[in-house]
Amino acid sequence: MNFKQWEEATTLPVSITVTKELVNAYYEAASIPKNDSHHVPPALPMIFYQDINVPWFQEQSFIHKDQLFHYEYPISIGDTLQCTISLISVEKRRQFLVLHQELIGRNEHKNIVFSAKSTLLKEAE
Amino acid sequence: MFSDSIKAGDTLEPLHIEITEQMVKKYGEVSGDFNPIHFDDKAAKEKGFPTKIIHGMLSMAIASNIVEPYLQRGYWVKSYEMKFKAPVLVGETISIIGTIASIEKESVTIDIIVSSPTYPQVAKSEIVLHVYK
Repeated sequence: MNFKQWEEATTLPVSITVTKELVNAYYEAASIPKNDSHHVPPALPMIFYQDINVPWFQEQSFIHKDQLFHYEYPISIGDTLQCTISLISVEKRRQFLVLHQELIGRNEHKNIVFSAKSTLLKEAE
Repeated sequence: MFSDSIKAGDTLEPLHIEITEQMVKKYGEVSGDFNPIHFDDKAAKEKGFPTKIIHGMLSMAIASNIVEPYLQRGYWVKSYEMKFKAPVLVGETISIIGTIASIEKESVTIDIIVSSPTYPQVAKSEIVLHVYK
């Protein structure tokens, strides 16, 4: 995979609705006691990846190095978000390729609700 | 406000959570991440791990549990960062230790260390909470 060719690429937007069932399944996996909060757990948006076609992710595995979520507004059950993933940069560092990418979710007014920046490592070929 | 009763340097109630195969299976299902290093010892060993490891994002999900008392008292998560230092093996019990790093008028910053029996530091994290208005 030539990751460099995808540098600065952004996926097509995908509409994702945060359902109660999805959040409950996440609570169960993460041992989070179910509660009355309408806000979803802060690391939950990473599960949106499975709904987005990311061309540079096809049959690839990475070492997850850093992860940063930043919220402009909390996400609530029932929210629908337009999500995209961008490959911000690809750099070679020793025997690794370092990929910086960002998942962004926007509300119906196209305002950013959250961003999820990931730093991933891949052994250079 | 809850922040009136806390100060920088205070520690949060630590969490000790066993990461079972069932949790890893459920996280795989909910996230769609079925990388065999999380489910198969042989696949994990081929990648240089002693045995199968949990998803890094599962440890991030679990570690956020430590701020749950704050979320019940009018705060929400403004930002959450984690640096992954070492893998967590499936079946291990991780410890999550949180310390109040700073308190502002409308925000609290909490430093978090995640450790396991195999590695003293598997992840280092910072959560910034804001008062929800």
